[in-house]
Amino acid sequence: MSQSGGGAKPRIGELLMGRGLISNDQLEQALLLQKLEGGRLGDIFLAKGWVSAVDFYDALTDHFRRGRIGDLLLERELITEKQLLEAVETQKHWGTRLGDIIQARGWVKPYVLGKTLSEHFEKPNVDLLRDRIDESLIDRDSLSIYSGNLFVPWRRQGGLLKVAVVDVNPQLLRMVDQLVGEPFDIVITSKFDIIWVLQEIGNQFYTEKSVHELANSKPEFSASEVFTAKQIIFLFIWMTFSVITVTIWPVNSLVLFNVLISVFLLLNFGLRIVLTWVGGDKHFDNLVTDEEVLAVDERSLPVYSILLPMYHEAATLPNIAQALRSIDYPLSKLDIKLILEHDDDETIDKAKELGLEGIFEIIRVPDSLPKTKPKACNYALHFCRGELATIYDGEDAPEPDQLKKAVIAFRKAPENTAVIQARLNYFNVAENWLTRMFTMEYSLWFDFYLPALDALRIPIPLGGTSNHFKMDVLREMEGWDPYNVTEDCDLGVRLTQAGYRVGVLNSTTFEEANNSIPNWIRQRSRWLKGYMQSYLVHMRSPIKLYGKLGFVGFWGFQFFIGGTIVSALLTPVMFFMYILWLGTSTTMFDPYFPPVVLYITLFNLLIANGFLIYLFMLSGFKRRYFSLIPWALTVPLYWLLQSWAGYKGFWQLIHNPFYWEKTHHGLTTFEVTHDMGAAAKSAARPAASGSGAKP
Amino acid sequence: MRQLVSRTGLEGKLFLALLVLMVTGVTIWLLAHGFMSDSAVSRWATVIAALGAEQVVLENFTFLAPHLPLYLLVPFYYIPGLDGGAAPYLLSIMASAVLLFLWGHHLKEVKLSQTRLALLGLLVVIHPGFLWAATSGSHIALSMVAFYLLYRASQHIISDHDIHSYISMAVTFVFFFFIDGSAVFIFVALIPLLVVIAPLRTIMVSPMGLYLIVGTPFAFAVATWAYLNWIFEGSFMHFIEHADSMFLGGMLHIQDYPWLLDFGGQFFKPLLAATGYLLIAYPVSVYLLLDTINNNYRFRASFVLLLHPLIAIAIATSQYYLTHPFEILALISAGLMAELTYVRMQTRREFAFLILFMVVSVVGGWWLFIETANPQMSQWVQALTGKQSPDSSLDGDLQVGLWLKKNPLPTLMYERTASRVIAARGNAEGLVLSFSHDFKSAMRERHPNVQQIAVPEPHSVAGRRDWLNIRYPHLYNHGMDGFRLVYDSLGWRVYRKIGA
Repeated sequence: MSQSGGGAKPRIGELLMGRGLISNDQLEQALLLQKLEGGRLGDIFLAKGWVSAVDFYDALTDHFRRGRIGDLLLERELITEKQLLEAVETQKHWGTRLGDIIQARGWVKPYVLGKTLSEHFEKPNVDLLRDRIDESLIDRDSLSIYSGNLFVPWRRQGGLLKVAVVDVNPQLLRMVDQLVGEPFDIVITSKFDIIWVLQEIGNQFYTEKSVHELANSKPEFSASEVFTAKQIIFLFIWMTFSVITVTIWPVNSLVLFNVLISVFLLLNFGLRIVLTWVGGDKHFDNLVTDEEVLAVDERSLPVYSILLPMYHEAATLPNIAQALRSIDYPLSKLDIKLILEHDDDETIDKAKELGLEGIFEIIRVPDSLPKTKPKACNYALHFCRGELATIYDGEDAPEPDQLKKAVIAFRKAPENTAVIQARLNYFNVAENWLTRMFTMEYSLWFDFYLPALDALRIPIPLGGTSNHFKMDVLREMEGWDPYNVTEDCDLGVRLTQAGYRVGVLNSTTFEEANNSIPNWIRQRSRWLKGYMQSYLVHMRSPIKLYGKLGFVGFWGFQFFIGGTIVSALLTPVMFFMYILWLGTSTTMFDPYFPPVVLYITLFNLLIANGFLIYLFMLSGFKRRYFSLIPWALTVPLYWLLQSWAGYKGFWQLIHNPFYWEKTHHGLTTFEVTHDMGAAAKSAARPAASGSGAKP
Repeated sequence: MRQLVSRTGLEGKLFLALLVLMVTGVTIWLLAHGFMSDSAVSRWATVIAALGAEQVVLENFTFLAPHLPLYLLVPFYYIPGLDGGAAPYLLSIMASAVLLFLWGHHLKEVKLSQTRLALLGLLVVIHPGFLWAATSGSHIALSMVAFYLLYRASQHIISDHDIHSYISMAVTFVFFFFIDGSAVFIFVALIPLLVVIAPLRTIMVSPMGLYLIVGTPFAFAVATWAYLNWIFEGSFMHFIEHADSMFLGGMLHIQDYPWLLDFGGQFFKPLLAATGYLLIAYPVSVYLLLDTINNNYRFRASFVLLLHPLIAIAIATSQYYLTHPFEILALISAGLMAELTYVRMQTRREFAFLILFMVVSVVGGWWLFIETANPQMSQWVQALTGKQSPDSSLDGDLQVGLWLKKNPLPTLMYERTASRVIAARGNAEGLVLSFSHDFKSAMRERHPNVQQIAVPEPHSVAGRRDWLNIRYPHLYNHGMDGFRLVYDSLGWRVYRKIGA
């Protein structure tokens, strides 16, 4: 198949004159110069500044280019005719450029495509690793723009600035024109060259931004300061006051303390009941229907950035790569960032070994403190090109239509919707007791609580992955707080405070549930520490917080975030007192439990705990994980584990607040899948399919 | 189709308000003609005894009867002018009002015309099952609300199968348990019928999951109750071991109840008898079953409505609990109301048939009610027909209660057999009752250190179970050293401490 057109090529000078871009004198001067010094006429126009690169390349039609991309690739046998036909057909549906489609399919490598583009535009192809850039041309403040749009000033040749670009399109050229503010011409390079070079040059800039941007611009939201001076003073006064009152009125003070705890737990229970009821509405299961997904015009879909922060997860990389390839979204509109730590050679080597398609880009995060996931994501954010962005973990298996659903959900949502959280669940549900508990907990959280929080306009603590952002809002918020170990929770609250809406989505990402108690404790202690950080950050100015969130939002935050912390810390104390009383029939607690307090405590112990167990059952029932339901009766043991993690997190908050307790993934013997039918089968023969997770 | 014009909310509400006024009027009429419900008196006496005590604590309410009807009466205690014992009747009226308005709200889904609503509402209310529950001051009005919600939840499970319907059913059962002792039987009777209610695929995949979802809260409720019994009374089984417990129903007094004498301890015979009762009092249920034979969803709902109360009656009778089938049969009125919220009476013919069967139900219901009435029901019918109940001056409990009201000295008495006395006294201030520390210490003394002691005749039904008679067997006949007889009338004697 040939794409080349027929007919005689008009001359470039005549064409530019015909468009009024140059005068006859200029043309004559240029021709004279060409005769004297050689070179291409177009380069002379650009060097003289008589015509801007934007106008120049806009005027250039395919007649001035050497064949079409597809033909060039075909001629060089880089693709087959069948592949070209398929790409052309795909182009009709996806509405993206042919080169992007071919690259996304992995038929040609980006640097090969770069060479072909050079031929096509008859521009030099440069290898930035060999032909180094002139760093004096770099504007450090514009590094994010370079990395976000894949261009970089390269060198000055013949007085004309040469800008290395990956693609040539009017929008990009206009941006370059505005930024460099002088006549320029382009050279072609590969996107990996640009990313590599910019990382090398801008390492310090990107790191500084990713670590300190939030703390510098909005210090009130940064967890870099664990306790503010005001909070320490308040704590001191409160503790002093407590000691004094307990000393003077020991019984009354402890009764009051008991009343506060009992009422808090009662209201906490009440909120969870309300959330379960509201979140259980069928409407939330049909926020975006399958029909809507089928009807979506793929040409209208935006570029989607997918952030994949990984650390020592070489084993899970092939799975997530495959999951992302299987996503029902135009691959050429995916901008996937493998965010890997500088010292993680194992995963970096694995990524290279896999020979991933051009849509995957490796972002190496340089070593700096704090070494946290949010910092890595902030770093990668500078390289993202999507209109929307999401995060997945290495062991994730999102439902294939999730990105489309997210786009539709954004279209249906109010304009101020900044992020939409998909549901999280687990594929290794039945692996052991812990995974069962974890699955029920997550089902309750994502299938009931979060939709209800959305409906009631209570700040939603985002989940660690599968949250879909509007990129401009995410950047406006300065990304994630690198000092907060539950940066997702914090960001959800920050967005609500900024007047944005956090929505939910009826699509699930299946993850690997922790199947080891020590590993689970590590993860949970980090989460609870992060909740404590988030609570302390947002409660620095409670009145301001109340003003921004309103009554329901404020108290919802207190009970949902604060309640989770308080419950975790109080559970063992209450259990201990109860067991002591039960085992010894002691009357020592009697004075501190006057009738009303006793009744509330009894209600909490019997009815509230009973119903909280029931909520776990409901979560299994709604997900149709029927076999989990009886296991819900053992959930009090899980609460004790949660308390253990809570105290560990509390201890760390004081001694090592920014330490990121790494959760080890890839421990499961179950197959990584979003297809729970397949998961059930693999559960029946875990040993046989164990290689699925660790190929 | 002009009949099916959607009515405005206001018109419907006005009519329902009229029905509530009618129920209120009937109640006033009944009370004016001397009707007094034992259940109402007992509950009100428990409330005033509990709240009139020196220390208001949970255990004052005892754990021998479900607590929710008692808690709902608590606010009335603080309303001046209700010390005469009208509060339980008011509560019944309010419960029936809630039921009617809830029904009216749900009926909007079937877009009834005003006339049809009026006709249906009237026929529902004048059925003796409903009227008895709404005006007798018993807990049955609250049970009807619970049963209505239960039946709505069943219908939702059948039609929508959403998580809300399962939660509703489970939570309603919890409330039901705290309202009515018969909730246990109603729950057990529903267990086999869940197979009809729940979607087949859920049953096939995980029957246990289904039962746990529906039953766990109920099981927790029962366990909670047992635990409270253990905490406050020392035994998990206290509420089903104590002779005065309402949870035992008629078990310890079989001879007083013809129904239990005939069918107690059996399952199939009472099932058959209850079927007969249902066919007479609620033939409309059968009509609805036949009418929905072509609609799988609605047929299943009608089938459950028909069978569920019958099984519950049979089980409750087999356990010697049920003293009269109308205790559960009356709940069908509520079930029927719920069923009607799903019936789209498209044609005039369909509606006419429904009305016809409802009229037959009302007639049959009244006939059955009168024919099988227990003494309390007979008294209710008598009062309803305008006949004055027996002279209250011959009521021993009432008279001693009024006497104690005029002589408000601290008095030792066993309230569980003397609820009518306390209700007649109007408050429990100064009374030394069985849950109090003073009562327990008095019972340990050879001569109790109290101002007065009231004791019933030891050979009467109440007297035999009275703790004072058990502790001091000669007290009634021979008095006690240091006490003199100050009241002796109609089976009650009051001894007062000499010098008090």
